[in-house]
Formats: sequence, structure tokens, C-alpha cells
Amino acid sequence: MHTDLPPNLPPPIVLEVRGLRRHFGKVPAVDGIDLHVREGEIYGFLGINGAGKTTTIRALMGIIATEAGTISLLGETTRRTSVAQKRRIGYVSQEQNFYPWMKCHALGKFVGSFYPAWDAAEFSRLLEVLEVPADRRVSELSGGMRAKLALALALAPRPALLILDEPTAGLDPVARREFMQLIVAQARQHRRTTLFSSHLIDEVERCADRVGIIHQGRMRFEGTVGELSRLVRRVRMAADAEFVLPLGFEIWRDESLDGVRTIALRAEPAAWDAFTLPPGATIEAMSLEDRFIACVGATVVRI
Amino acid sequence: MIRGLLTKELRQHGFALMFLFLVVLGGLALIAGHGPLHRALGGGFSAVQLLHTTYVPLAALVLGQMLIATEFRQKTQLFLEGLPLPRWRMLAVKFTLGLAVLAGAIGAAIFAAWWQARGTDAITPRFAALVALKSAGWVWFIYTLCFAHAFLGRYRVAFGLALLFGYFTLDTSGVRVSEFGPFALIDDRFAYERFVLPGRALAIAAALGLGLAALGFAMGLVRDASVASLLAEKMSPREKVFITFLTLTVLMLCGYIAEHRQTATPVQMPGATEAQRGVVRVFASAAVDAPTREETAALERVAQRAADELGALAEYLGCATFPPVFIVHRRDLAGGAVQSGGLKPAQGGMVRANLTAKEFYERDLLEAIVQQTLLAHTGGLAGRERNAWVHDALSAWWPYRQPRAAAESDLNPKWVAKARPTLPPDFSARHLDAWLSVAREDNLRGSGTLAATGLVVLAQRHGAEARQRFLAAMFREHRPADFRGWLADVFRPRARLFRAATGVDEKQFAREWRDALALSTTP
Repeated sequence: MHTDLPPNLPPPIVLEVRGLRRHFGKVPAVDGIDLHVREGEIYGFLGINGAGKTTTIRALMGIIATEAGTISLLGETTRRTSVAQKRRIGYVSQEQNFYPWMKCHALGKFVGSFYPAWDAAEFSRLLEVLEVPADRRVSELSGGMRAKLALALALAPRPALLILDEPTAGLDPVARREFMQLIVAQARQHRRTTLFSSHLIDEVERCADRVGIIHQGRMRFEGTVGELSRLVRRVRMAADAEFVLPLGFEIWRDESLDGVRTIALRAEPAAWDAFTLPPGATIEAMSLEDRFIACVGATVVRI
Repeated sequence: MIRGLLTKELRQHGFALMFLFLVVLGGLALIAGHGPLHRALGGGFSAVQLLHTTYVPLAALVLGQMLIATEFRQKTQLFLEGLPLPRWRMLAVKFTLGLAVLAGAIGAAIFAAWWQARGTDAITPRFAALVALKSAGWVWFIYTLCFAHAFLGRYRVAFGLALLFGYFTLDTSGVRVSEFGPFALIDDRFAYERFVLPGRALAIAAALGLGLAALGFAMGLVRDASVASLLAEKMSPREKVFITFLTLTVLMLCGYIAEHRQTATPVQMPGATEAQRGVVRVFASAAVDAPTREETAALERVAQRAADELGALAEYLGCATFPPVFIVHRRDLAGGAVQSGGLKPAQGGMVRANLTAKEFYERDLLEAIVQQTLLAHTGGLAGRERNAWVHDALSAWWPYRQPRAAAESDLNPKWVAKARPTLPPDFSARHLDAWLSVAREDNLRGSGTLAATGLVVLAQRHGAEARQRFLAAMFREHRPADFRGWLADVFRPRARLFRAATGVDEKQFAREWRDALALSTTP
């Protein structure tokens, strides 16, 4: 970890993916995506179901092979993540397939045997903090408890990078909120680089420093939420009003409803500065969810 | 890493592993402590052989299911995949642990057997090495088989059943499975053989084991999610129906074959008159308590005549084997009646007749004998409609055949008279394919004679050699009464054999046959 870098230099890149490609049969699950995560950053990996989030994460974890592309992980570039690299990653999968007969502390002992840097005391502390009963069998835990147990297992080896694949899927709103608070607290406290995938916009908006939006196996956007706001805006006008797409603009979504037409446009900030609104048109406020839907939803919608 | 995995496996399956270990020791203790049982088995090493045939397959199956199938069924291998653990190492630990447990249990059994026998039997180093090697080969083969089987996921039950029933079917079908490779290692000589090293069996067991182990590892390692993970997915309802149907079909087929084979035991005819000519054996017996002198003489005469005729037939066709023939004399049968004995093809041919009746006609008996023998020799295929005219023809023609070809220059007027009413007006090659219909039309009265005239016409027009070539092509080879015979019949149809043997097709021959019958004179 580089903690004493000059403040004007950006933190080093911990994870960088270039041109990652993977098909399942003829279906391209991941089709040449690029992403990078800097040290200490919380990266929200956003996409609808089937967008390619889990495939990307499983490729990052070396669970599946890639057809093309490189993965630079913790300063080492490979085609497939090695065991040595995995020892420095904490991973929480989408489904927790633990041994149901094991007690939580025994599971910690088992998982710890694979990590040289395993901190048993930290694991016990995490179980206590997360209120997971150490003496209870996995089969006796609720879904939320299992997710917390998975987080404790992922954090106990004090990983340089934490990767979570939809960790809150299936949790109730309260458990989800608590879970994400813990992740953010851990990331801030230990400057731990964190990448988590989700299809829940509010979760990403609340926790992530930067987001990557993946759709149909391709990265549609990567940057901060603020950058997305500056790039994507929505113009509202009458349905019959004439609109000519200016140079440097791209229509992400064109929606007509009850005689009102709203067009989500993407353009660089400089282009937006030079943009002239058509007569009678206004710029409408957009939430991250609106921008996400504009990014991954249908381009033209007529209701 | 390995220690962690081993600890996990022992914690997860510790009770079951201990149970497997105790079963073998308990069994040996029981045998050792129970005198009559010990004597019945023939000593400690016989008990080890018993363990090899019963305990080892069951224990290997249980180990495979516990260590491999459970991991994939519960999808806990996905959890392991997220850990810094190479997949091959996880499989290697499981493989080694299971093999060590099984080998350890059998090793303990051999040690116990040796301990018990050390005062009474001469345990030479060679004998000990033979027992150890044979045990190792067998355990290696069975364990790797069960290891690979455990990766089959949702298909493992169906596959296991098919394998098991396949084994028993082969065993009951006369295939000596116990003499093959690994099975030969634990045959009846296991506890007694002190000199001969079954090198070939050991090599086969080692090679098969290597192949099976490689197959298991491949299923666990190839592809990202591994073949084993895909196979471990639950069956769809449609797949369940299909697999159930397939399994039941295989089981029924195995049952049918086993039953068929089991009941086809050789026919025993104590006190029968026997006559042999080359590959032909004829047995004649009277189904009466005390045969008269006349009956005994008739049996002797008929047996010798039948052996002569069938010996000549086997030579004419070039048969390397021929089914046994059984002739049964029955006083209760009406004078000229000749009955089929209803044996299975594998048992041979049987006919019954009243050999001392006034109306008894020996050539009718010979015709029936040839008919039954050809059916047995071809596994019943000769009787199929597509082959029926040749079968009828040879059976009817053979007892009346003329020794010289010149004698066949004209058709026998009596035959012509008998055959003409049976001959369909539009007789053509298609009738040769539907011969049973031709025979039914005439109520079976003259179909045999009509068929026999065909063979005479064939010799007249294309030579006696062409006729012999055709008949030999049809009946020379023995056909088993299963799918192999059926396949041979499909791929070597009569029409093709006819053309190959005679150089003409059956359409032309049918015309020649019809014209010859039309032009021939009748008495």
C-alpha cells in the first residue's frame, strides 16, 4: 500500500483490466471490457442481470479463463489470476456455498489455512462486530448472517483488494444498508481497495467513489457519479417539437409519453457548454437511476 | 493448504471412514474367531478374497460418493474455487485420501490374515508378494472406477446400474468376465496361488486404473466450471423421464438376455443313440420307458442316416460348426407326423416322430431335421420371411437331391405337379421377399416343393456351383440369436448374396423359374 504519496499524484492502480473477453458458446458474456481501480478506492460495478458482472469478477478471481485481454492485479500482469495473487484478495461470491455442517469458527480455521496472512484474532473480532455467532453451524445461519460471515472470511486475511459479487443480493433493506456501511467503513479505515458489483443504484450511489456501468458485456461508462452527471443530461420538450442532434452528442434514450418527449443525451462537458436548447425545451434533473436506465435501457421508447 | 483440506475431509467424513475401517476389521475378527465359518471360507486369505469381491467395491463406491459426488452436489466446490487453492490439488487430496483408506483397510485385512495363518500355513515371501500385488491391482482398479463414476453427477445412478447389470449380463451370457484383467486378480486362486504372477492381469488393471483416474481428473478439471459441475446439476423433468426410460430399457434388455441365456442350457439325453460325422452330432432317443428291439434299431438307423445327411450338408455349405440335433421317438404320435421340438437356437434342433409307425417316411423326418438345424445354426434368422424361401428350398431339396448334376436336367414331374398350384400367377422377385404369404396362400401344402424347384432351376440355368455358392453364403456362418445376427442379416441381405453368388439378379431368376415350371411336364 502506498500511503505516503504526494497529494497531487493519484493513487496507484491496484487493478486494471484491458480488453477482457469471454464467450459462453456463441453468447459474448464479456466483450472486451476495460476497467481500472485505484488504491483505496471503492468501485461500484453496475449492470443489470446478465450484463457480465459476475463473469468479469470470476475472471478476476481466476475461476474462469479469459479468451483475450490482460489483468494487472497488485502490480502483476497475467491472463489468469494466480494462487499467489488470490492470497492477497478477499472475495465474497454471489452465493455463499459454505459447508453447512461447519461451525463459523471452524470455517474460519479452514479458510485461514489457505492464507499465509490470515489473522485469526481479526476474524474473531469481525464475527463479534458483525454479530455472527462463532459457535453456530452454517446451516443454522440466515442469509444475512451468511453474507456477514462471508465478509468476515474475506477481510480476515487483511487483503489488499476486496472483491464482492452482489454481496447484498437477497438481503432485506436493513441488512443491506448495514452490510454496505461495514464495507465502506473497512475501506475508509484501512484504505482497502474495494470492487463490488450490484444492480441496486442507491447502493452504488451511496458507497462508490467511482462506478463502471457494464451492459451486454461492454463497458458503457467508467468514472465518478459527478462525471456521469456532467456527461449525461435530459432535455424535455413537446413531442412534436423538432430536434436536430448536435455534433458530439449521442442519444442514450428517447422517450415520448403523454405528448412530452424527453431525450437523454451524452456529450463531453465542453459540448454541453456550447449546447443551445431548442425553443420551448428545458434541461431536466436526473438521478443516477435515470442515467443508469438511459445507459442500459432501450434507446427509443414510445408509450 | 493440504493439511487444511485433509482436516476438512476427515472432519466431514471421519465417522464414515472409521466405519468403513471397522467393518473390515470386524469382519475379519468374526471370521477368525468363528471356527466353522473360518473353515468354510478356507482360511484367512480366502476371507481377504471375500472382502475383495464384496467389501472393496462397496467401500470404493461409498468413498467416491462421499469425497467427490457430495462436494459437487452441494456445490461447495464453488466455495473452494474462490479460495487460493488450485482445483487439481483439491481433487488430488480427495483421490489420495480415499485410496489410502481403502488400501489401508485391505492392508490391515491382509496383515490379520497373515497373523492368523503364520503358525499353520507356509507364508513364503513370493506368496506374500503375490497376495499384496493382486490386492493392490484390484483395489487400484475398483477405486479408480468408483472415483471416475462419482464425477458423473446426475447420471451416476443410471450409469452405475447399467454397469452392474451389464456385468451380470455378460457373466450369465457365457463371457468369462472373471478371467478378464482385474477380475482375474481375485479369482478362486487368490488364496492359494503361490508361484504364478498374473502379469498380464496386473498390467491391464494398472492401465485401466490409470485411464479411469485420468478420466476422473479430466472431468473435474476440464472447462472452467468443470464437466463434473455441469453433470451435478439437477435433472430437468424431461431428462428424468428420458433417463428413467433408458434405464428401464437397459435393465429389461439385460434381464431378457440373462433369462434367455440362462434357460438355453445344453439338452441332456441320457442313453441316447449318438452318431457323429465331422462337426455334426446327432442324438436319437425314445421317449418310452423300455424301447423295443425294433424301436432301438429304428433309432440307430435314423441317427446314422441323419448324421450322414447333415454331415454332407455341413460339408456342402462349408460350416465350421453345426448345432447338435436331437431326434425323439414318440409312440403316441400319429403315423406320418413330424413335430418340431421347440428348442432355443443355442440348444440345437429337435424333431419328434413315431419312427416305427407304418406311415413314417424317413425323408419327411430328414426334411424337418434340416429345417430345424438351419434355424438353430442361424439363430432363427433362416426362418425370417426375407430368408424363408431359401430355408424352405434347402430343407425340401436336400433329402431328395440328385448326386449328379446331369440328373437335374429336367424338373421332377411330381414336384412340378405339386408346385404349380402354389405358384402365384404373377410370380416375381417380390414373392421371394414375401414367401410366408405365398406359403399361406397355399396353406403350406406345396411351398416347400415350389421352393425346392427354384434350387433345381438355379442349378440348371446357372450351374450347380452357383447354387452351392449361394446356399453357402446364406448358411455357412453360425449366427448368434441376438443383435449381431440381426445386423449381419441386415447388412448382408439375401438378394445381394444371390447376385454375388450367381451373377444374376433375382428378378431375372424369378422369370426363369416361372418359365421353367410352366414348360415342364407333369405326370
